[in-house]
Amino acid sequence: MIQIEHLCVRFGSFAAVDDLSLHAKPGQVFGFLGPNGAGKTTTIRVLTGVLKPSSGTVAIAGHPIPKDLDKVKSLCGYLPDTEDHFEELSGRENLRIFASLYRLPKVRIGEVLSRLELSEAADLAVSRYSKGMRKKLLIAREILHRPRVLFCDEPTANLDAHSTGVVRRLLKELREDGTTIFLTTHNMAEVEEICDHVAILAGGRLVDQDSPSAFIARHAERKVRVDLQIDGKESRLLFDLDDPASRSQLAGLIAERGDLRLHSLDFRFEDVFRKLTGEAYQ
Amino acid sequence: MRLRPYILLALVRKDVARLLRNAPALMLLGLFVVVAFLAANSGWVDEHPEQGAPQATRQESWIVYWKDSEWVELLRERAPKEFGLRFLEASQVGPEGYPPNICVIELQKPAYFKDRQQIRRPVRYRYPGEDPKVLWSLTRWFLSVSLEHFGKMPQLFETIQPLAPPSRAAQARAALRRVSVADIMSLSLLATALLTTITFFAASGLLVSLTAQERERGALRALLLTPVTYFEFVLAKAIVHGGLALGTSALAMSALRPAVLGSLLFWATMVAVTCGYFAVGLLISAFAKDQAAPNLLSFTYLLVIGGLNLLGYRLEAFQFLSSLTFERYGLLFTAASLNNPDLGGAESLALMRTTNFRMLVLLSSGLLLIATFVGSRRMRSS
Repeated sequence: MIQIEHLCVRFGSFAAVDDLSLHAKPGQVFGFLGPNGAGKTTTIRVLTGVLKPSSGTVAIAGHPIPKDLDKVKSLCGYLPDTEDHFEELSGRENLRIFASLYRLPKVRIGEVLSRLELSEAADLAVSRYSKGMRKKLLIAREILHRPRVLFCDEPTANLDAHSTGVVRRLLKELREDGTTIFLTTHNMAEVEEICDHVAILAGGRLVDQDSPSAFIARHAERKVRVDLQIDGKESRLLFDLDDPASRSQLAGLIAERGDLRLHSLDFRFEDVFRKLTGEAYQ
Repeated sequence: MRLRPYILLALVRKDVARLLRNAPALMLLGLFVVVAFLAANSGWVDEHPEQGAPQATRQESWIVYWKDSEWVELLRERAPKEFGLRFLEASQVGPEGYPPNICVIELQKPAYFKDRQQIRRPVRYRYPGEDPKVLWSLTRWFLSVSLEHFGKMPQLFETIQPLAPPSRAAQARAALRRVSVADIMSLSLLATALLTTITFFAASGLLVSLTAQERERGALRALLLTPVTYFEFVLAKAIVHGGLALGTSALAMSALRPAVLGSLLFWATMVAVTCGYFAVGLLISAFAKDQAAPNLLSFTYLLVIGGLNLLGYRLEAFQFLSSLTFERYGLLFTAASLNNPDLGGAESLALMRTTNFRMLVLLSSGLLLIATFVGSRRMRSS
């Protein structure tokens, strides 16, 4: 659905995106991750036709961008990280504007309002909405025209647990409907929960890509934390079970002391991300 | 350059809905119309309603008395017409003193002396200019009537002195009187100023404010990620803001100069001026990142252009610069159509073929083209 081949975006001598190649399949939640300044937003700007690539090709549903941008616009939705509503208008009026631009029937507005649990507040001015309601309205707006690709930039940032749950549930539903979701987020638990495939970017280059479970399997580190008392003080030691020296040290300690408390450390996707983007795993 | 009516309609509806929620802007536009209706249905205010401070004509002489008495009554009865005599109590003389071209006889408060047995009546004769001879005929008449009243020559304590030169404040007031407010506050001028303000506010100021708000909140980006093209976006704004400017102007003129609403020249000028102001608004909003700076910029633009055109009328050095602004020609033809509201179609067309009108169309449409091009480039980059 989304094809990026050898994409390069340069601003003068600075390469914001350097030789990036990706392929997101239809109905997939594609996690597009990276630390700040990795080139995620630049890539999305190219995909949405806002920015022209310096070299390489980009296509959505087989339509090259920016050549076929007009055709692609109605196939895509973009969920930004900030709310960009017409504040003085009601939620329904906001949706009506966008529905008219896509020539959608009025009944579709009612459908999405009800799906996002916004029917009761639909006729209130958006300026009176809570943060969660605004985010839901944003999603309602972007799914109004049933896009085949939805670009999501931090969809659950600054949301409470309940609203986060609603957004994640909706993203899963959209995936089941066949929508490709191109997701950027800094919430690694979210990646583990909803992403089918993940690409990690650093310094404008693709570091690695795979499914979250495969990432964990490939990069997992088996570590044991040992809590013990040394000279009357509580101490904490870390042993890497993949390192023979560390392993024998641990065995010696277990044989020597009977008051140890051992904890096996969980290796999560967040640790993979930190490892691959250069931060030391603790 | 694609134009889809359903998208245009959706954008126009959006802009109208946003305008209708903008109470301060609507109130301001309403205020302009109220001003027009008030001006149309009001008489001119008396420019110098200075109560108790009578003004003298050139031929007048005044007799100023401290208190009315039989003496004053007799003087009033015997007053010859050729003196143009006016009788005033001292308290009626204004703080700026006497007008500069009159003769005055001041009958001051009498003083008693020698155990109130004798009375002295101070009388001061005042003359304009440098020659006291101008008083002669008046004093001769005054003394004869006084003699008749008292039956003998009264105990007058007479002094003769020239009129005091007017104070600086009085000179300033006199200067103000020489410039009639009616000269500068004609109905045509008021209408021209009102039309300029309305078109600038509706087509430029309000456009800048609302577009900057959309850009600041990100709504502009959201719109441009939909199938909307920049051309459709601008055209919808032009329809709404241009319509608002022309509609409000028509409403104001229906009160001030209803006849002008049938003038081809008036409408052609208004459309050209509205296009020019719309282009200015588009250009400013293309560089707007928030609301505060662009609003200030559009206000500053109005001041600078107003000042430039004012200077252009008076100083040659600014004439060339002001001739490069569409506002100069806009003001010219707005005033022309307001002063000649019954202009026929053929006459209007003849005026529209003049170089000045062509300059108006050329400058405003050129500015619109530049603004659309710059706006589209800026929109993509942001």
